[in-house]
Amino acid sequence: MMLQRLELQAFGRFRDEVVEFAPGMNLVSGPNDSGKTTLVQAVTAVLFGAGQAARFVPWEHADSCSAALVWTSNDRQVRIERDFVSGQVTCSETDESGDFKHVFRGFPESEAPDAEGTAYLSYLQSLLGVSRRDLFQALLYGDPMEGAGGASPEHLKACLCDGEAVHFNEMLKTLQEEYLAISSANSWGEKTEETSALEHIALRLGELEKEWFSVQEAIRRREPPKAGAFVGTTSGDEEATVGHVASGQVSELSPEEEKAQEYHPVDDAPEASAKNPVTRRTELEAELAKTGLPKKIPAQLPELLIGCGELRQTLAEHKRALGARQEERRRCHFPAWQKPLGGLAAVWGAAWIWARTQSSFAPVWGGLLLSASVAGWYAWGCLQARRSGQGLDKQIAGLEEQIGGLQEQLTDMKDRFEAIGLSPSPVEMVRMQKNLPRHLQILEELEKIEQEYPGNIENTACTSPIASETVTASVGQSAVGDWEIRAEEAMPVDDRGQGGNEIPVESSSSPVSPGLEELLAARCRIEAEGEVLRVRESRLKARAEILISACSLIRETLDDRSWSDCDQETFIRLLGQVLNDLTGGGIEQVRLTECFNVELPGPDGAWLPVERFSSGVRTLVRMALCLALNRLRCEPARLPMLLDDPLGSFDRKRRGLVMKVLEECAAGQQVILFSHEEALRRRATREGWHLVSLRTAGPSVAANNEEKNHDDGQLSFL
Amino acid sequence: MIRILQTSDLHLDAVFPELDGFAAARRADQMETFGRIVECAIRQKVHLLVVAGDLFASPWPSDDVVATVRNGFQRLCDHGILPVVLPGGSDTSRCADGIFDRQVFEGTLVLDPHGPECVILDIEGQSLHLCSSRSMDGRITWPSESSAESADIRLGVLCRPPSTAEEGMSGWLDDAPWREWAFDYLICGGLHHYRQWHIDGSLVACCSGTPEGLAFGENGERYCVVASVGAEAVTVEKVPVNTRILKDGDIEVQGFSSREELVDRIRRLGHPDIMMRLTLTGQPAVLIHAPLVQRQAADAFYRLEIDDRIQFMNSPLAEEYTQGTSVSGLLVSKARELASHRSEKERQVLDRALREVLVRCQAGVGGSL
Repeated sequence: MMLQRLELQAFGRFRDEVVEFAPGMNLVSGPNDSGKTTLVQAVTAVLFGAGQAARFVPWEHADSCSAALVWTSNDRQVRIERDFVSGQVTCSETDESGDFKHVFRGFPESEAPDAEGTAYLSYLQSLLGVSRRDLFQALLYGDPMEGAGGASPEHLKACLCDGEAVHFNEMLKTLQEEYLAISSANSWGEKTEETSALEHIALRLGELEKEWFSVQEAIRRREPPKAGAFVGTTSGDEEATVGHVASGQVSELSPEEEKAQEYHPVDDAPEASAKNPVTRRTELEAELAKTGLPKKIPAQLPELLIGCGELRQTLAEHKRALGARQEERRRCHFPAWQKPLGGLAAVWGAAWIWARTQSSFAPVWGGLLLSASVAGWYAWGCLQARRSGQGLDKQIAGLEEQIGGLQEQLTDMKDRFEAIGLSPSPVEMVRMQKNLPRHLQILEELEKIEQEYPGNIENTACTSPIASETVTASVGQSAVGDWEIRAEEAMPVDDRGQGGNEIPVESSSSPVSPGLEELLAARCRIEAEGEVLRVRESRLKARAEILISACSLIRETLDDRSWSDCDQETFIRLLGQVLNDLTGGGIEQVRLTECFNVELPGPDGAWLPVERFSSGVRTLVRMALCLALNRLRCEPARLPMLLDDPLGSFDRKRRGLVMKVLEECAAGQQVILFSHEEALRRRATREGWHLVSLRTAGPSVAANNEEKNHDDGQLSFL
Repeated sequence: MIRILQTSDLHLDAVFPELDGFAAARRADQMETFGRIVECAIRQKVHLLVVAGDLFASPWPSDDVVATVRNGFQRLCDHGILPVVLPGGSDTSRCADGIFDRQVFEGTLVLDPHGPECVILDIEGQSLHLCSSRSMDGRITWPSESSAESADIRLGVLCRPPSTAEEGMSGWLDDAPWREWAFDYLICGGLHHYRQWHIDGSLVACCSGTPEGLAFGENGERYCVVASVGAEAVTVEKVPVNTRILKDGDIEVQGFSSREELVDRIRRLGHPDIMMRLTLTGQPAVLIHAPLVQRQAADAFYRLEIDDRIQFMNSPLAEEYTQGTSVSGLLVSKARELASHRSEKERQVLDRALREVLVRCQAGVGGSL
């Protein structure tokens, strides 16, 4: 691949220049500040863009600055043009008829390639065998101004492998960057300052966890007591039937239990007066719903509740009395006959023994007397038992009759409840009765607030809660007719028949204050976010697993390949040859460490890193690396070598050696030297190199190159 | 004859964590479906709308969702339809802070989520005994109810039938003391698919399934059910209500000679309302990187997910790679060598990693996809 032409339009100090190059040796000659370095830089800038393009844009032509390279390989010509103002790159190739046709046009970004950038770099890779600026400069192109640092071990390693390996190395970097964005834990020991996505998630999850606990604690503090608010007691032994649905009966409650059943408002009334009336009203409405009573108390309801309560209490007392009487009656029976009989047998036995020792009627009389006493006692016992049983039977019958009457009254009560639109269960009746005073009090307060703030109340009217067990609705406009709901049963079946089990009756009906609702919503949000984060975390982990797997795969493959297939031995041999040629046999041996660092033998024969040697040796090694790599890696493209002032620090002997090596190189590839030295210019003229003369000023320097070549030839001849 | 529109397992306001940025769209779909159910109930002139469990995805749905549902129920009430909700396992809170404990649905009959309950409704002079229960440890307990007369209709609402109901449909009802329960019809929830149960040729129970598929597997058309329940017979009608269609599919990649061809084939399956999970299987003839294919074909679907189960490492294509001396070939050989010591799951990861590397290599410098 030969660089045929460099075209510059308002590029740096050049206005409209076309610099032609030829195969073999080329010399761009000119004094200092004539633009030699600018030409060297232009080549890299056209191919890979300029980091600071503005430095090439002339101040008097700020709207235009472009340069183009024309490459030739066999019959193929490729023109790559870059506009440094717009950033547009146009690549054209000659077709069979010799006309240029665009093969790429776009605005590629070389530093962080997008789709266009990737396509362009792929094009460069196929054209020149290299697509990285640093490799191009430092290793293959010998651009001393841009790649002053020379070959880094990493670049060397990449170059020693084939182009595909270089490509995989670049991909490895991309994959590692992607991985590091997800997770900072990596096996290649790279540390990032930026927080990875997984760390972000872990931090956020930690925060959420703390938030959740604090919200949960706040909820716990704010929630009204649940199980103790209203407690009914079921008694299987004293089960009664209410209406036509079996249900647990509320037994008589102890004063403590009654107290526990009373509704305890969250806020005290005196505090409430200081609150916003709207808030207070909402709270009162909520409390109102808690009482289990309808908002509007029917006139008969208090009387019904009281009556019903009394009835239930009486019923419970009667039932308890009935139970006691029945138990008493069960125990009431005739005295056992076995004991008196035994007693009689004993008496007559004793009398018989007595009669055998004394022949008289005294034992007979004694036995008869004792027998009569025992029989009399037994008869008296039977009589008492009969009397007692009869009395108890009467009492039981009376109690049963009373209980029946009371139950009938309860049924009447139930009908009366239904008449006012209520069907409360026994437990609900107790709750309603206990909460009735508080309900009336709340209603009074509400009425007071409504009188004081009628407007606010209208605006903030809230929904009256409807308990699911007591829904009563009638829709006149219904297309399907009216319907009515009578909820009658809410007791779990399993709890029936198990006397003494306390069950929460109304634990779930307590309304929630606005603050609590906010807390609940916050908890819900935290849980949802946590769930989303967990899924995201697992996905990122799965993605990281694939990336780490890909990175390991590439790294292991390249590691294997580096030592087996990279032609390292060939490179070391080439490097040794070039160094030998450049130093005239002064340095014959060179080696690469495992880390691809170059080492030379020291004075005592020990291997030393190249950094330990003089600057002249270091420059020679850099040039040798460049030449060796160019020979190794640029087959068959054989990129031109551009060397800016290659002989600057060498003595006469070494200059001769270097020039000899370069001239040998030029037999197989294009070598372009940039120098201000007159001696080199004379040598170029003498040897017939292609010569490009630059001037310090003036409109054009290269337009009359041919003429200059001719003149220089004449001068050299003379 | 009592007409009932039954549905269940709407799971409104679900989080959909696996959908990430797409979750909000799915929640909107759910609300659209709920609106369609309400419209269906009004159009069909039913007496009741019964939600047999899991109306919401959690006991604390967002305010917006609650407001929409409340409005929907209010509309039903305005048309003389009674909404009946049996809270399910997802939206019942053990504490007194759940949505149904706050009593926000005015005019709605919320059945007891914690135990059996029986409510008697009078619908156009016909007594309807509505009993609810849920299966606990495979056991179903109904409230004992003695006042039903022969002319009354007994309707059961069961939140979660026993697990056997999911497997064999007829089994659990045969085992259950159906005659003892004496229901004319049983509305079931908790199963996410439509099911019917018959005894002696008569329809006795039905589960409508989720009206909007929640996850893949709940595919195709989704329904609510309009049931006409009389003392003598029950008839049901399925009404499609879903907003989106979930679909599963799989494609054998072996026959495709280029990635574009595969993308075209996938795109042909697409529809703006289809949410598809596509499994790619087989040994490819060309390099296929599933995320890239997904990206290229996604616009033909409402949402496309690709499950990558391609087996590249054992394919003839991988064999071809190993024939050469290129880095790619070494890479494939290395991967095959590593795979031989790994578990099936690790092999799958390695296969995906290998394909990604090779596709990136094809893509050009830097391997950006």
